[in-house]
Amino acid sequence: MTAEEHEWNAAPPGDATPPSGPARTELLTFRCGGQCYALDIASVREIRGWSRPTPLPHTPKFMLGMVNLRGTVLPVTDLALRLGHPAMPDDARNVIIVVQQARRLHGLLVEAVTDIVRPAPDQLQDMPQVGAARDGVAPDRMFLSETGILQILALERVLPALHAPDAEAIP
Amino acid sequence: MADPMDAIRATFFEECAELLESLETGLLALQTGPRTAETIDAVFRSVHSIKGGAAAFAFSDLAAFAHEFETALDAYRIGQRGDLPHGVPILLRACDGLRDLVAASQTGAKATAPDPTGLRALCGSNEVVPTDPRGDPDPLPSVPNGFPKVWTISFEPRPELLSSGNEPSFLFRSLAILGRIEVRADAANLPPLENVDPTLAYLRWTLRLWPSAPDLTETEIEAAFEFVHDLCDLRIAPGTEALAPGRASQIPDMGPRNAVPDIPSLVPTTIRVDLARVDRLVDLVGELVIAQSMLAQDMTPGGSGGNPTGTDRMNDLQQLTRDLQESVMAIRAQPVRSLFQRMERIVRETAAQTGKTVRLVTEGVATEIDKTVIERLADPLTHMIRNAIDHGLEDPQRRTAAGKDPTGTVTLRALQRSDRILIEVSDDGAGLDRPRICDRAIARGLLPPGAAPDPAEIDQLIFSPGFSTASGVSAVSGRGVGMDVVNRAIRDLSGSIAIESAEGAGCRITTSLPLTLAILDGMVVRSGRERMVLPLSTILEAQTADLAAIERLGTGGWAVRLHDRYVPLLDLGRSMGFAVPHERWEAGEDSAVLFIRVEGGDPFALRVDAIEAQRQVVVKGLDDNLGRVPCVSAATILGDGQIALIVDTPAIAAAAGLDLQLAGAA
Repeated sequence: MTAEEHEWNAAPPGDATPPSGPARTELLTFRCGGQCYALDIASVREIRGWSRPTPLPHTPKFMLGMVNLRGTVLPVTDLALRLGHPAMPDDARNVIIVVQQARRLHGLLVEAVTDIVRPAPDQLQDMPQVGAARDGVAPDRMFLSETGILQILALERVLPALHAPDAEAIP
Repeated sequence: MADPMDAIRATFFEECAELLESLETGLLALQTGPRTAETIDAVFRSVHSIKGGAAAFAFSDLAAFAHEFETALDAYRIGQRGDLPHGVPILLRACDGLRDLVAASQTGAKATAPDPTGLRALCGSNEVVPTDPRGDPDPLPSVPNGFPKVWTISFEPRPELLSSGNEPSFLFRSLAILGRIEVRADAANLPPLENVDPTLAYLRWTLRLWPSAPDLTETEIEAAFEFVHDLCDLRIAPGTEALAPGRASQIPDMGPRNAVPDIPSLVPTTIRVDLARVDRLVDLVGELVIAQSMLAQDMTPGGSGGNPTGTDRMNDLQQLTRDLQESVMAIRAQPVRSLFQRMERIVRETAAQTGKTVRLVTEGVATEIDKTVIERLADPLTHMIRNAIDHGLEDPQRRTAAGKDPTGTVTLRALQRSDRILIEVSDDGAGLDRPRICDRAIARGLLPPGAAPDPAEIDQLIFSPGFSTASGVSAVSGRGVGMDVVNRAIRDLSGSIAIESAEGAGCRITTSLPLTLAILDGMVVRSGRERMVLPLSTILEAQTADLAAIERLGTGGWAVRLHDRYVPLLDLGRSMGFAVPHERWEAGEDSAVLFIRVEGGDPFALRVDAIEAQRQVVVKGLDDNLGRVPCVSAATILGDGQIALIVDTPAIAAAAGLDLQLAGAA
């Protein structure tokens, strides 16, 4: 366990803002490819330090490979590459966000986790149309904070397609 | 938020699956064996439980049909028309219908309720009774051999019965061993609660006993009351109580039945555990094995300075972890019984579709295999059995003409042979029609014209993909629909298929499977930076690269000599899609050549940079998190915690075959 591994599922103790209204989502924010992104915290299982993935052949370039998550084989995606940024530089300070969708576990390699935010519904807005979306993985909603724009990722579109690796394979 | 009802509903469907299974088991037992009261009761209980659950969850179609079913069974249970020869097949079909309705309720699909006419004809409704051709004029349940079919026992304890430490329900339980019983308590003498003296017996009972052995005598019944003989008034008489057929099905079954606790069975106690928990346990034990082997590596003589006690303890630990691993794997093992039973239905349906009469014989139903393997065997087995009936068995006329029993036999057999499980599907049909298969293969370009392959090669042709996709094949060829699908499914289970056929005498397909998918005997090899695991079962032989006779053929491929022939040589890293420099066949003094067996084809060879170890590895499936990856069958975690790919050697061969063809064409 490194210092970067926290339990993110529980709300931090002493949090001043009580949950007001049912519609408030909690978002985990992080840096990736020089920009700020956010993910629904309900889909985040844990944050892990970096370890070298075992490469997987015949998969898209953004698939870094697999790491050992306490006995489970965890596929890891270079999220920057997946979102159209340059590949993540090898850096031991990068972290892997372990996300879960239904029964599926997946790791997303990002630069650093930054915060947990609870935006009010009116703070969320649609992304302005700036050029063609890439593979349909681009975020479609965003959130304005004091620090700038946070792009909210739709997990089901970020995760590589299951059972159809051929379609995305790079020869 | 998940609906809490969903979880309860899921439990109901889980139970349904078990109940349906025991229902089918019971009905099949009724079909082949003697009609015992316990079996009928078990069958009845299954349907009744499904009905109850269905009603509670408002699955009205299911509840309604289960009710019809129950009514029919009740008639059966009372023994009133249990000797109807066609009864059991109707009940079996109703069981199939019930299964469909359960599935439909589960998925929310709309299903048409099965036609209950057959069931209604079975139960003793008044319209049917008089038209019964063999209409038994005597409604009294006494008959053959002069022994009564029902006994009525009146049991009135004297006050001392309880105070002397006797318990009526134990007596009833021992009575229940003799057959099915119905117990009615007469509470007329029961005083108001505040006046009850707990040491006194106030209740009287009337019991009816349907003996499982028809020749049960009064003395035998009396023996059950041996210990309380002087403590009660007992009257035993052949039962003649109102059992008129028209009323039979209205006898309430819940109240009296509850008076007696279930007879303790001899079946071992089991608990139901979510498979995910077992999987977690398997994972943890796998981790433990890895940690243990890392520790063992650290304690090699060089490391521990030759500490003999430590080494001994280490060996003990190793033994324990191995035992633990085996025990955990055994939790996942299940007998193939349920799988084989499911095939009964396939046989019934296919027989009905093809108009053939078929008997299914099952052997080795107690053989245990890993649960995941069992689940994934259902489809391939279904294919094979359908094929055996549809294409293997001749129709009754042809069979009679050939001097065979007009009823065809399909045999399903499971047996364990060392660390493999063999599943055989055999039929006593006509065998494969080899000339037709040959013609077909030549027409499809699978064989060169005029080829004369030997019988074994011809039999292998039915596994060719081309054979199953063509529409007219099932009508033309002897067999072959879907066999390539079967082959692939079995290969995905790390299994292999062998086929034997004798003209006019039948065909047998033997599937060989590993005991578990969770552990694999593997060879850990290195290619470039990557370590990979090759399943040991696919390796024929290994040679060091500098001694192997490697030849370059033309400008393209490489070949290496295996005994008296040359086989294609590939580089493992390149075949797997890793970037590896091409021209380095001899590089590295550890590099080796592994000869790989290909099911139904010629072997080929793989070059690796080093062979590191040979060991059992814990297989981690990738499907859930990743989907399928070409040339990779799974992954494992090595002693140092790193993940290694488990190589799908048949896929490499297939990919290489493609490459070779392309190279030849260019």
